Amino acid sequence: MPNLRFLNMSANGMAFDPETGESYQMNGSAQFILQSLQKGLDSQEIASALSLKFNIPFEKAHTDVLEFQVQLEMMAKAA
Amino acid sequence: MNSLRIGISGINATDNPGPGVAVARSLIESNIPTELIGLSYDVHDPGNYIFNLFKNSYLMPYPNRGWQGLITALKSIQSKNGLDILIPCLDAELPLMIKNQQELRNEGIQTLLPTEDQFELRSKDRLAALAREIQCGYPKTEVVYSLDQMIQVLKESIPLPAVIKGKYYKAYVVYNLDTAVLKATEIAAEWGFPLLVQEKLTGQEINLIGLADDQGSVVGRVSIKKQLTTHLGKVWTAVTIRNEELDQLCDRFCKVTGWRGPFELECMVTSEGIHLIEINPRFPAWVYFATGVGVNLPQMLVQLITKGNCPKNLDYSLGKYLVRYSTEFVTDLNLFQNLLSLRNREGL
Repeated sequence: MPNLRFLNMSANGMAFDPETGESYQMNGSAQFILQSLQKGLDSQEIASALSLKFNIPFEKAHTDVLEFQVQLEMMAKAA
Repeated sequence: MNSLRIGISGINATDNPGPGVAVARSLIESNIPTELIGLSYDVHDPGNYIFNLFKNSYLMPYPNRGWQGLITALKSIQSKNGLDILIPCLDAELPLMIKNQQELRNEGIQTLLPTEDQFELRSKDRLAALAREIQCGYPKTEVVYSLDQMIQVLKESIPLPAVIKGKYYKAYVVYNLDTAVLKATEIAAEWGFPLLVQEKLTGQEINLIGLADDQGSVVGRVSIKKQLTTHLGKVWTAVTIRNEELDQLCDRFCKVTGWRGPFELECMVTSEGIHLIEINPRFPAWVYFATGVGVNLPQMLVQLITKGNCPKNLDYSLGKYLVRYSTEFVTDLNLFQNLLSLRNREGL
């Protein structure tokens, strides 16, 4: 997984990894999850907040958070 | 303070650029009063015609004609123009410059170059041993002295796809034997044998430009990831990064070799860590990128040469973007004629 602490998020929804030079385009929910991970929240806390913010069921939000984390790991491996 | 008269080679700012023009731009933007002199091996080198960088430009004899020709040309330039410092920027001339550093000093021409031993340690055919010593990976590589031997290596020990490299310049990824022979022939026709056959690693290429003082201590460095490259792998767009493992590798390289002067580390990051691909014993052509993010390595090099020290500068912004572009300008034919007939642009 990219080093979340250093992953820079721009106003246009692009995340830049300064260790690898990779850039990732993120939609609104991905940005929200990433920022929450950077704050140190766990997947349950992020799913609760995501569920409220986007008005989706908790279970769906939690799946999204876990999938997002898997995607981050895959992107890091591909980089 | 009188201007320092600095000779810079590698002013072939073409699609396969030498570093000279970028070194000159960096020095022009520095706070050091300089008078820059282009040292060119081809009348067509664009740097010959760039007035706002070079006060004059001289045609030099090819390095393969030996030291006597080079030192005679440098002495002639010195008598016409003055020449205090030399920044050689081409691989092919470096062995001669390094071997004859003392003679250059005796002539009043200062440099900061690695020793012959340091230079040889990073040569492509000895890099595997150095990589082991500085604790990083190195792709499986074999030196070959003929096309037959190359084919044998590709069939038996380094499977395709592989990388075919010249001793000094050029490297091609090849996916079949026909292309391997074609590319090897091309490189050998230009630079001769031996060639290197190298395992092709899958990963991400990252590069570090650095400068070490005469004690082998790093005084400046910048790391990048190339984003777009030419067919020869030359950078076209790139972004600044910081990779701790690469920074540590850079420190180990300078400490173990006691490196003096500019260098570039070309590396691949794979799931198994950092692998050294090549070490260039000079500034790379993208040296102005470092200047643009606040680490003016040519300026620091001149400070090291003239004062023996310079402030360390290891800080730069991450996520800065380099964009190379092509442009053109119009000048007078008589400059070309001066270079051809009198071997310098100004017709001295």
